[in-house]
Amino acid sequence: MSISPIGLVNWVTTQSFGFSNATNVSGQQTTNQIRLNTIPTSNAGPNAIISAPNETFWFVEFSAGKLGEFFAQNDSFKEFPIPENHSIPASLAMDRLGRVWFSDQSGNGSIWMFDPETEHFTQYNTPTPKSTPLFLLPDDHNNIWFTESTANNLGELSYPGYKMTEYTLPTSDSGPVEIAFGQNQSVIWITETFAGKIASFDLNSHTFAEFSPPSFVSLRSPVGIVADRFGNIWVSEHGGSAVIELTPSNSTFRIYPTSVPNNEYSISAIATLAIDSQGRLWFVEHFANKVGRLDPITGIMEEFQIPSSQPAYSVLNALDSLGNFWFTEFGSNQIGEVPYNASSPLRTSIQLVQGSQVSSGSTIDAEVTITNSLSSPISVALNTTSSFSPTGLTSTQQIALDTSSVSLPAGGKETIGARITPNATLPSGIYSVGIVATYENSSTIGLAFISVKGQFSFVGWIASNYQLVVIAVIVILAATYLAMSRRSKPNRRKTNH
Amino acid sequence: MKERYSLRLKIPLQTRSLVSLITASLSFWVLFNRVTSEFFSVQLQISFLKVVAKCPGLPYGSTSGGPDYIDIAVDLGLAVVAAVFIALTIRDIRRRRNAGTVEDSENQESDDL
Repeated sequence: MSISPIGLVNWVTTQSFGFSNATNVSGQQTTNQIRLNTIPTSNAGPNAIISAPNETFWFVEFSAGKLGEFFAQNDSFKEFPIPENHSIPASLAMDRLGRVWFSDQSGNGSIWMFDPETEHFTQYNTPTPKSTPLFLLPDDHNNIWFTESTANNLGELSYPGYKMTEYTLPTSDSGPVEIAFGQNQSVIWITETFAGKIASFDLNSHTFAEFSPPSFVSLRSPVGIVADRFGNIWVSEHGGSAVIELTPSNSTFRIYPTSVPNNEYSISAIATLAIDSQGRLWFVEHFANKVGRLDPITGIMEEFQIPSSQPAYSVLNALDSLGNFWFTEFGSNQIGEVPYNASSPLRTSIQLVQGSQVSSGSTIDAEVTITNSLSSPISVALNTTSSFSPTGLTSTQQIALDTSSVSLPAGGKETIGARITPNATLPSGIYSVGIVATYENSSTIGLAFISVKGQFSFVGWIASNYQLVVIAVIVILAATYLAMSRRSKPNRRKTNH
Repeated sequence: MKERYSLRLKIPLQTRSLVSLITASLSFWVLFNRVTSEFFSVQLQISFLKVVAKCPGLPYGSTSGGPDYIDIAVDLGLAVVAAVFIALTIRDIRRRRNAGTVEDSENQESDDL
């Protein structure tokens, strides 16, 4: 079946940060802008976007049942209605032959192929009904791998005949959502959003392995997953506020918390991750309506507020050939772009004064240095984040700053004190603490890792197990009562008159 | 032949009443805490599922799990313990009052004599 494009629309909105065209201390010009392009079909529900050659981008319209194409050269769109009523395209990918594949969650679930040259759609139904297919991943041999999120399967469409095979994950109802190749495409990494685990699938032996987080890592609803060039696996926590690093060789986890939005959700809810050529991780914080970028080498996370009213959301974002970050905004019906060189004018670093080891319930001191790269004095708001709680919410008891705001001279810096006190009940592990410095529409989070040694505290144990303790007291009291009843049964005396 | 309670029953009855009252109160307190925390936990789970539902394309909640029978059993046990000890407390208070009435009447009789 051949479908013609129904629209060619040029409609661009450009919004800039408050610190756009600023000059940093090294004299480098930064042009920090988020460009937003509105999709021609209203309420189309753009859900996922991929980058294609020649500054072209493909995206799915979840609510409108269309496949979209965006031409960045002239900011114009083409749309292709999917030839099935009420189709629900969720995500997409492009194979090495230039064909666009997308998942369709309508009905029992299917995978579609769209050939841009012929504009022909081909549908492949999943053998398992109600499979809710989501993420797709073509390999170098043009096989298409995909997840069946409610059928608990990893699926494969084998090139060239596209025979469909399903591989069931070991944990039942694990909720496989996103997938990524490990090094050399020998392994597929999978986030199990219901199980809160990370799975790997060996493409040679067709066997699964699973990684469960230790007690100090929550891993709530993991969704996004990418592998870096060192073989580390990066996962986004959609039910929390963190990007989490897994080192598979020793099964260690590290948490990189975002700032926590001050709204009804209290989590940033990162859905998906993209990794650029420098190893930096880009993501959209759904409930914070920000674009975030984590540089694992410097340990600095930057966040850029998205200038739209609806919280930005997408299940797949893209990086173009220049490294610019592209994302869809489901609610605002837009496609957004952040330039690769976007940066906050602030730098935040944390220096732990007494080393990085602390016992739970004890306090260590830190020095926080905030640097202003602008050529004008600014006032910076300070906040905290950490992995002490699953949501990232951090109390002033856990991290106490000397001040909640600081004035910085042009090109100057300021150092303030911080006292870090992990909860007395925290189990041993590597925790992260972050100081969020915000100026206008961007933030910089300086991160530090501390090794917390959980120690047994009787009071802490009582506090965390008070119900058990009280139930034990109830049992003792009940036994005491029964014993007293037996001892003091009515002492009946016979009295003769 | 006349049966009457000995005088030394008065002090154990007070102690027993106190013990049963504390037991009932603690049971009720733990039960209340558990029920409220379970309620808020369910509310949190519902709000979380609503949050997830705002994320189109992602699966909506897990179908795994089911009723937590151990927690339900603990809650029921606590409710039974609280009810039994409330009843025992009331019974002991009544007995103590009756014992007091008997003692008073005995004292009255001895005064009359």
